[in-house]
Amino acid sequence: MNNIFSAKRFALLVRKQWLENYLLLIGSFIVLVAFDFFVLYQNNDWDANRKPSYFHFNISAAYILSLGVCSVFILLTYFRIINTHTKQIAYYTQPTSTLEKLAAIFLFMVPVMLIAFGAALSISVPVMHSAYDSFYHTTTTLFAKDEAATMKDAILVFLTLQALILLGMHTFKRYAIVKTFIAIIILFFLFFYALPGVTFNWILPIEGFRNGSFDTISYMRNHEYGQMVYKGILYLPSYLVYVCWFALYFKMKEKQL
Amino acid sequence: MITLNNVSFAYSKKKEVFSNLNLTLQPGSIYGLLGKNGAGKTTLLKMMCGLATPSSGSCTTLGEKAARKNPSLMRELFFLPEEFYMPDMRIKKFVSLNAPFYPEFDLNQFHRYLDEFEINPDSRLRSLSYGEKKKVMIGFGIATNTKLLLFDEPTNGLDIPSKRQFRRIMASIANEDKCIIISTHQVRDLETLIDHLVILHNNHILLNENVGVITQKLCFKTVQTVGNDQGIIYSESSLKGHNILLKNAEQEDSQLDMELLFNGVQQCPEKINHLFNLN
Repeated sequence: MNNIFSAKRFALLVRKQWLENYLLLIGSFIVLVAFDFFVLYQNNDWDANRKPSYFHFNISAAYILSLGVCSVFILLTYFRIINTHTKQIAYYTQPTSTLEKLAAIFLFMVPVMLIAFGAALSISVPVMHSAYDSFYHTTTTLFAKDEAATMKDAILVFLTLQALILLGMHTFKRYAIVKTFIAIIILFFLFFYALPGVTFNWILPIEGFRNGSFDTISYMRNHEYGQMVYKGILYLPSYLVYVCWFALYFKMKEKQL
Repeated sequence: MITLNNVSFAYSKKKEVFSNLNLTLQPGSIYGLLGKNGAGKTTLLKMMCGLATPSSGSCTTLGEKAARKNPSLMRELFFLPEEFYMPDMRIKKFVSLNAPFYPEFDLNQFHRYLDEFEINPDSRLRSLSYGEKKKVMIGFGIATNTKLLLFDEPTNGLDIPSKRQFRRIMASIANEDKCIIISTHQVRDLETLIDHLVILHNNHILLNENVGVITQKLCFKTVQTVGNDQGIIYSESSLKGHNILLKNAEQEDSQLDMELLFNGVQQCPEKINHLFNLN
C-alpha cells in the first residue's frame, strides 16, 4: 500500500474538507467581492466637479487589501479545521498521509485562494472601472507598469506571510499567534536589516573601507559584486515560502497531541 | 498486535508519564486499561495510534511504527477519545465523508447500531446530546471493522440502557482477529466485558493479566468480619460488611470485582506484584 501519496485518498480528503467548509468558503467569497467593491469605491475619486487633465482608476489598494483579506479568510477556514484538541485528534487520526494532508492545505491555501482572489477582482474591477469611465466620460487603462510589478511582488509577500503563519501555528503550542507574530518581525529584521548589514559591514568590506569607515550605500552602488550580493540578499525572503512549506511537512509528520 | 518496548514518555522534564514501559497486547481480547487520573491511560492510547511519540523506546502497532501514522495503519485502527469532535452535519453526510477512508466499513452494520441505540440516522449531529453523539461515534467506530479499536471512557455520558447495549455490541464483535482496548474509570460498566486487565500506576504497569488468571490467583469475597487470615491482600468496608481480596489458595470460583482489585492493586502493589510474578 502506498503510504506516501494516493490520489484516491487525496481526492477523498479534499472532498471532505470542501463539503465541511463550502458554506464558509462561499460566504467568504461573497464578502470578498463586496469588500473589493467597497475598496474600489473608497480609493477612487468620484467628484463630478473634478476636471483634471489625467484620470486614473486606482486598483492597487483593492488588489493589496483583497489579497490580505483573502489570505485571512483561507487561514481562518483552515484553523477552523484544527483549532481545538478534539479537531486535531480527528484530523491526525484520519487515514491519510502527511503529504496528502499538506497537499490538501496547499490546494486551498494557494491555487484556490488565488482563483478566489482573481475571480473577486474579475467581478468587481470591470464593473467599477466602467462605472468610473462612465462617470467621467473618459477611457482609462487599468495598470500602470510599476503597479503591475508591485502587485506581482505582493502575491509573493502574502504567500510567504501565509506560509509563515501556518508554520508558526504548527510550531508553537501556546500563544501561537503572538509567537508567530514575533517570529515574523524577527525574520523581517533578519532579512532586511541584519543580514544586509552584517554582509556589507563585516563579511564584504574588502575594498569598502575608506579612511577607516565603510560606506555601504556607495559600495553597493559602485561595485558589481556589491550589487550582486545585495540583490541576492533581497531575493532570499522569496525562497522563504518554499522553506516554510517544506518545514510544515515535517512539523505535521511529527505532530504530537 | 501492539508492542511497547522500553517506552519512556514525558510531557515535560518534570512530568514523566512512562519510564521503560514494556507491554504486548494480542488480538482476540478486550483489554481494560485502568489507572488513576494522570496515570497515562489516554497517553498510552494516543501512543498506540501515533498521536504521542515515545521519547525513548518503540511503539509498534499492527507491525508498523505507530508514530509514522501511516495510512495503512490508520485505516486499521479507530480511536474514540473521551472528548471528540463532530462537525455540524447530518449523520448520513458524516458517514459519507468519513466512511470511505475505512475499506471495511459496513453501512448496514452502522444502521443496525443506530437502531439499537435508538438514534434516527437522519438526525443532525448538532441536535444530539453528548451521549447520543457518543453512541453515533461508537457505532461508527465499530462499523469501520478495523482490527484495532481504542476507546477512551466509552461509557461516559451513556445512559443505563445504552451501557448495556454497548456491552452487548462489544461482546458481539469481539473475535480472534480484533483487539479492543478500553480505557475506563467506570469499572462496573465493563466488568463483564473485559477479559484482560492492564493497570497503570506511577509510570509503570502494575498488573497485566487475563481475567481468568486473576480469578485463579485471587478470590473476591464479601464477609461480615475480617479475621487474621494470612491470605488477605486487601479489604475495604462496604454496606454489606467487608469486601476482601485474598489469595485463592483453595482455588475457589469467584466473580471478579474490578473496583476491589483496582483498589487492592493501588494500596498493596508489592503483594500483587509478588503474587503475579512469582506464582
